[in-house]
Amino acid sequence: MSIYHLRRKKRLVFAFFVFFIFFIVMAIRLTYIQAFDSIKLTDEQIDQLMGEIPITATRGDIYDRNMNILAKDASASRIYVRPRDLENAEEVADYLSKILDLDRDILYEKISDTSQWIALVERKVDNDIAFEIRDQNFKGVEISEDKKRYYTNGNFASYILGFTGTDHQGLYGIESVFNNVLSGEDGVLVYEKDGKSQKVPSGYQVRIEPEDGDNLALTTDSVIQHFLESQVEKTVNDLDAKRVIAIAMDPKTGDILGMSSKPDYNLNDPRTISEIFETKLSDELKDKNLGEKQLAMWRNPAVTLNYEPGSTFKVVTASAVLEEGVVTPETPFFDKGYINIAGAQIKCHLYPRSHGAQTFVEGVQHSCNPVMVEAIQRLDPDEFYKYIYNFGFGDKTGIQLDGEQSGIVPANVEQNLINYVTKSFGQGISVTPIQLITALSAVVNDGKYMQPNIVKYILSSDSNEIIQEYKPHQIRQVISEDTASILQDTMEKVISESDVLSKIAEKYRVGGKTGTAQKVIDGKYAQGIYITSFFGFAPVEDPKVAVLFIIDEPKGYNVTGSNTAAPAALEFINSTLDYLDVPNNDKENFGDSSIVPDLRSQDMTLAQEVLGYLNLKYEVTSDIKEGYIVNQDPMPGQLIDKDTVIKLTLDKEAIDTSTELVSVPNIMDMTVQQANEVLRRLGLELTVTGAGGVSTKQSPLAGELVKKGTKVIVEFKPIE
Amino acid sequence: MSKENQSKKVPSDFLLIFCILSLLCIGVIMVFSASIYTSAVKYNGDQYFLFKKQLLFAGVGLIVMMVVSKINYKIYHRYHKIILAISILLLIAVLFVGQELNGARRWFSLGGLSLQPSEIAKYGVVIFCAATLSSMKDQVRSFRKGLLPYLILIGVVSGLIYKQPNLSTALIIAVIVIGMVFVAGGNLGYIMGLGGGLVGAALYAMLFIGWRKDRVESFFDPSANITGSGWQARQSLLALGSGGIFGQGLGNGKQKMFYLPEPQNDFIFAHIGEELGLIGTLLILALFLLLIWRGLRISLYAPDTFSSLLSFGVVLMVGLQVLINVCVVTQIIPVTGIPLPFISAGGSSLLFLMGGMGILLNISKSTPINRR
Repeated sequence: MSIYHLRRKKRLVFAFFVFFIFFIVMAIRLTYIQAFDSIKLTDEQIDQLMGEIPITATRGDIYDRNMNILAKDASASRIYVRPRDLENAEEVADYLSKILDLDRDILYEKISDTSQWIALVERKVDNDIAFEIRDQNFKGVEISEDKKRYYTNGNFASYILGFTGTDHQGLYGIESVFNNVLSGEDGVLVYEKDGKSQKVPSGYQVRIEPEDGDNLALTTDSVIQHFLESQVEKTVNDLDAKRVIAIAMDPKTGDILGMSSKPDYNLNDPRTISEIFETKLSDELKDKNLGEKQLAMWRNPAVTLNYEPGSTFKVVTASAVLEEGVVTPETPFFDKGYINIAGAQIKCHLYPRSHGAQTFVEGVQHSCNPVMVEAIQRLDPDEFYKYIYNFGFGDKTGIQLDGEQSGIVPANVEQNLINYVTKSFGQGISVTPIQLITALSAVVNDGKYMQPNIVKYILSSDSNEIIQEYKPHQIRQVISEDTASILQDTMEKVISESDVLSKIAEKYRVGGKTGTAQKVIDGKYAQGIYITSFFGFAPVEDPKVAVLFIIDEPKGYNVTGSNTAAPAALEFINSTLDYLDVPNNDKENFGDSSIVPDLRSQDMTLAQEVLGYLNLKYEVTSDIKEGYIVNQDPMPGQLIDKDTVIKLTLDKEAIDTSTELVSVPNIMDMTVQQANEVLRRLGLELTVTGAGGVSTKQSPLAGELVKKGTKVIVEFKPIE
Repeated sequence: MSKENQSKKVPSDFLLIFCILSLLCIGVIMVFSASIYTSAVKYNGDQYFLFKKQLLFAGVGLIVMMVVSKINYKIYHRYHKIILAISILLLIAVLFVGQELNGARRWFSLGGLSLQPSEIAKYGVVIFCAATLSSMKDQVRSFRKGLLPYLILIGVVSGLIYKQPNLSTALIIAVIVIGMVFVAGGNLGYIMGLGGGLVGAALYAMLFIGWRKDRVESFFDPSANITGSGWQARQSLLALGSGGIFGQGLGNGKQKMFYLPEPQNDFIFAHIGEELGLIGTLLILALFLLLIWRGLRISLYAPDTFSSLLSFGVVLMVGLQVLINVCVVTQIIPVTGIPLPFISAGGSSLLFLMGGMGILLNISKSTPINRR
């Protein structure tokens, strides 16, 4: 054999040897993977094979106290897309973005990202829309089960209920505070999935059922809530107010019967800011982005608004001084129209006139500031503060609503006297609406301060059995029954001795207290901008309902608690007591009076409805019988008998406010300064005649329509 | 060479045929179990599509092997230049008229049958090398005769294949040529230098060029490329690992459900590992080692230098593919698309492979009995 053959053969054997080595290496590697690493890799494989689809638990229902449904879950759909299975991403993006109202470009980016097996497009899609999508038979578009929250009436009780977020979690109101009760426990569907995240047809499948959330029954009554809301709505419109807030409470239990604030938002579309909200609160919303505006809109003013209560707070002051015995109901006071404190003059609201001689309770009834100031000076500030705190001010009431504020009670340190005495009539102290109604309800409830409460029961999801009850809970006795009774009488007189208010409230014995406070804007009292309010309760002999109406920036001249908030609250009380079948005073013969509504600028059809609802007679005096009302007689706000015929003047077109026509206000009994203020606000000019003092004559007369800039001649005479 | 008459009565190598048939059978069965889930989706619900195709090609492949085993190997020596020339022409042609798939032109499409010119080129190179090297004696050690022509051969053929681009096949060709020069008695110094240069070129191509670079990076850091080749390598390990020692049982594999890329093709070895376990994978390695041993034995006792080098080239070709495929699947080297001979689903490539086995059988039949 030649050397070449030998060499070749040696090298062939060597080649086999090399192969052999490589095979040994591979065998070792395989043994390592398949024997030693097997458990770890098998675990990893099992993880990867397991697909999970969450099954959203049905969220608990929310009912009112009579088990009327307020919020409920309904079946909805989730839309997924498998980017790698799409045949035409453009077409699918066009279709889905249109039907689901999504941003087309963002959606397209999401569903054309083929590095993802599956992309969630939208949750909580209505089933009819989902069926429509399914019928398109797009390859790669999938639909699965979801839940959606429905609120029986979008805006109804929105601030109480709140709403839920994308993951079905409660975000505001009861939905948020009771989220743990309502949400239940989500279930899951575990299934075997393939590398494309698709369910393996023959694979295993385990379904862990969701545990549905428990139901809630609130203390609110939907009928009372409805009365409250419609009255609030009406008040916002009638007074062109920025905002109206109202709370109705059962004073004996602390149960909230109704709570409303308008403008509000639609629970079924909570992210849209209504136009009316945007206009009404434009001051606060300007320069804010959508998110900030939404936060402002979702905040429940009934528990979050800190405001200076004004005269309604006098009930608290009176409680303190009476209970401590520094005054008696009959203690005589003399009001000269003002009182000088530490060099400053505090005026009575009648100033430059005065109440003259009056007892303490009359002072309270007349809402006389100098009386309160005098009385509070007889009380040790520490004692006064004790009552402020015992009435729950300066601390959260603990009502089951979110975002509650504590109000602002400045610390009781050595303060100058003026800052102390103003608190007696509700200045220099801030409260929340819920604090105030709870405190004043304690006076109504014979001095027993009750825990305010909005949830009555937690009910089991399946059978509505009571799991937990929120029973009425008395926190403390703030004042004695005797003191409470004196103040109840005094508050009854506030109504019964007012001609206007007693007429509205003639069916029942109603007690109440009005309040008019200048608003604090940027740390200063803003001239001519008010928060007016009224606290009322009825019937006095056995109170069934207490109500607080707060009107933020009512428009018009000379707005006070008694001509804005009180009528609205009294109308509400009337309807509510009727509904509750409270025996009335049989004063029906006198019940035929009403306050003239403002029909100007209204469409005739709407005006007919309103007048029909109020049971008022009317006649059209102009030749034109259809269109808009340009003038009416009597003017709005006047008290009339049911038999009075309201005369309406119509025109084809409504008077546009931009045509610069204004209605001349009543400027009687005003100082020059006050008259000037009122006229200037309406764009009118004041021409002064006479010797100064208070106004006695004016021209043109109140109610006439004049152009802006018109001079109004007013004669002033000194008071006798 | 002088005992040609006797060779006709010599039976074929029984063990070699046993290996080939065993591997083919395993292949058909495993292609069936690997493709049953994906075929149902991909081929309009026909879950037997790839199985039927594989069965057909295995049958045709056996016929091809028998036919080729009847062809006297010397005919390849006579036409070695023409065969190489045709190979090179086809490689050039495919760059212009080949089917484009994922940015590469590697295929001719001939009425449903795809043809890879690089398959033909492998044989062209093996036959050309065997023919030219067998006529050299001491010249094989010279630079001018024993190295330069083969450098040029590698440059042309591997270069063209690299152009497709198909780096792993280009490397296989280069290694085959170097291996044949080595066995033919080439200068060890040159060969080692050449091997070093080849490793350097391969590293350069892997580390600095686009998608290959990504694959290499994901090899060292599989989590960085979850959906690409890092995912593939990971899924391959999960398949092998979850199979354990005894496997999950035939048909019970999970990784074939769109987790393993091409479970019936480049990653079929991982699929086998999952269903048949370590026992299955070691058995297949043993069958391949046996096949290589029988092949090299034919080369060792071949009747002449040409047939010895020819059979060595064929065995080297098969062995290299096994090595690369198994190393990819077990994550010893980065992902590259080389099928597992006889087992991976394939059309024309299986036929060429069977043809190669036919050549081996023909040579073994020509081997005098006293030499076996």
